[in-house]
Amino acid sequence: MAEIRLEHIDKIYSGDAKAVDDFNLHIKDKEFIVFVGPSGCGKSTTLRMIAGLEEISGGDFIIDGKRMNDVAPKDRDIAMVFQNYALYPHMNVFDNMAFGLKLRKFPKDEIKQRVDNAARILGLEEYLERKPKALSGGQRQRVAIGRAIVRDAKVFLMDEPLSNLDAKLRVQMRKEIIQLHKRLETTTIYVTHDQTEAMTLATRIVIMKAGIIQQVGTPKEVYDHPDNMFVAGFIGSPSMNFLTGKLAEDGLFHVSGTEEKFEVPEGKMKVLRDRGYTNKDLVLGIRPEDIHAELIYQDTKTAHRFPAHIEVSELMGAESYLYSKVGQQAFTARVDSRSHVEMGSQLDLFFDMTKAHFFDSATEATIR
Amino acid sequence: MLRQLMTVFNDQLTTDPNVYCQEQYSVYRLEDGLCFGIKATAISDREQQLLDVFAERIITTSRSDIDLWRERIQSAHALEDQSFRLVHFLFNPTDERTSEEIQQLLSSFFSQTSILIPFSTHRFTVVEREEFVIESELSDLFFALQSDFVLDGKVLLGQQRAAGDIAVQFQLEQAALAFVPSMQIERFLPAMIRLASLDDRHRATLVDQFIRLLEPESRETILAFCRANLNVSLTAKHLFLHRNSLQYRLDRLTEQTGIDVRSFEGATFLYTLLLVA
Repeated sequence: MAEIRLEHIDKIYSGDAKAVDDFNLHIKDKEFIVFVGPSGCGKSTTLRMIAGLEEISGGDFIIDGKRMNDVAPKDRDIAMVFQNYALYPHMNVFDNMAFGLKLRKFPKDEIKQRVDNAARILGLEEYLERKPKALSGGQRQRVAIGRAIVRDAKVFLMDEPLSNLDAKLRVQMRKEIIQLHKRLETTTIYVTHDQTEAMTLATRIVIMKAGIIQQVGTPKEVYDHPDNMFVAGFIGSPSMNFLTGKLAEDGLFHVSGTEEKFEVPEGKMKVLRDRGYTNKDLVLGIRPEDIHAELIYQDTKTAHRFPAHIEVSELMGAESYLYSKVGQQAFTARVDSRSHVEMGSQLDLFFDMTKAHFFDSATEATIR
Repeated sequence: MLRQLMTVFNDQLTTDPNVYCQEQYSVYRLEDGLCFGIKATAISDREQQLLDVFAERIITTSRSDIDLWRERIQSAHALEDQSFRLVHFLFNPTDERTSEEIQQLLSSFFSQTSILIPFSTHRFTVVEREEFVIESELSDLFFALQSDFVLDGKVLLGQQRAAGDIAVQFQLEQAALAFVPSMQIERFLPAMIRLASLDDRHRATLVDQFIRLLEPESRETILAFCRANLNVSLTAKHLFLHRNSLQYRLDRLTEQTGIDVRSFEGATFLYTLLLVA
């Protein structure tokens, strides 16, 4: 069990560009923290600095009050699961799981007890004698996780551990990792570029871009209250829709390049006016699921009716994605499959303006 | 059989290669391929003779062998008449104990006929003879090792050669290892293409080793074959040759250089060398 503090952490490779810039995070004991962001955003670099595989250029990395910057990687009491869940091909499952303990000179009895225990938790008891090549992808990944579990380390680091698995297995392993964390309660830092993994696994999500933290919060917080357009667009699938325009004196949001005007609810309008956004360029953000097709919304005062020409429609089973445009600006609606229409159709869509977000078009920050 | 032996020798017997590769163990292989080691001090001469009847005693490499090989591959030239391949490991600097543990792990992974030569606490080369490990397994070992030792490193899987100058091969591959990106495992040909493009000093050696010995018609064949996208029929047409004559030339090229010119990587390597020669 461990509490981690990352204070003003920087990573500078040759030259002046910062791969990680002033990274500050306090991770509480038993938390499951997910670093998420596009490739090259610095999430893996941060994880590797925590593991000790990369030197920390500046700042303090502290576990349970002790500064760890200069502690050798193997003495940090951290267990790491890599993307390429590799196992020793010449050892059986038992020896693979036991190897880390043998290195640390654990007594034989304890090694056996720990490996048996991990094998039971991961459902690997009957495979202990098998070599890795006789295991399926999912079983191998479980052994790789088992190799970390047996160490009983203070912190687990996982670097995209599910990215080598197929989609179905990934969903199953995600569930198993959640159950495992509930059971072991080990402080975990998990890196992924997949926002679905981040949303489903995390106690808190750290969203990164170009080496800088964009937002830290629970999955619900970052989904419902994104701090900026990057977070709003990155979290959620399909992505949030963005429409540029201006809030006019009449209190309506005029979408750029069209005559289309959206009525802004009273509360949101007050915030925008108070912040001085009247007659200024703005970006309206609305999630696909907040655009409805059901006629019941036509009587809702805060729902803006828009006669849409459906350019593409995708039936996903329970729901349907409808792709259309306001002027030249594309948007996606995620509606119930009962409202599915064929491409080329006309359909009234209702934008639930109580769920709309507004962003400063220059800074891309949320206006609050 | 093994179980019975275990009851006789108790803690003195181990099936763990990390343990029995240490010098104080006598190592045996049973008919089914299973290996085990018994502490040398725990076996009497009589027991030794009995064990030799039903198990094959494996000679593990002695220290002097390693020194001999170290000297040999570091000399200017050393002709090897058997097939060989070198595998090079370079890790971040580490302490003596970790280094010992890594060496034990590597020894247990490679075949008994291979020789592990340490050059420092974190630089090792394995000379493989007779038996060669599979690349995917080497890659698995490397990544598993990194997660256990939390250690950054890189590996270069050398060229498998039927015979030849093992010292020159070693120099080239060590030079290429310097250009392999961290945490990666790279094969001989991509590593050598990088070496030929980046390093002036070793380019001449590579040209000497692979290009100088080629007749003009072999060089012309490589260029034409690459320009025809490795298409044999098209190349034969462009060179006004019968398809079988070209096949013969390609076979001969592979024989002369030890590089499979029919593979994309092999052709690219020879083509790059011709361009920079």
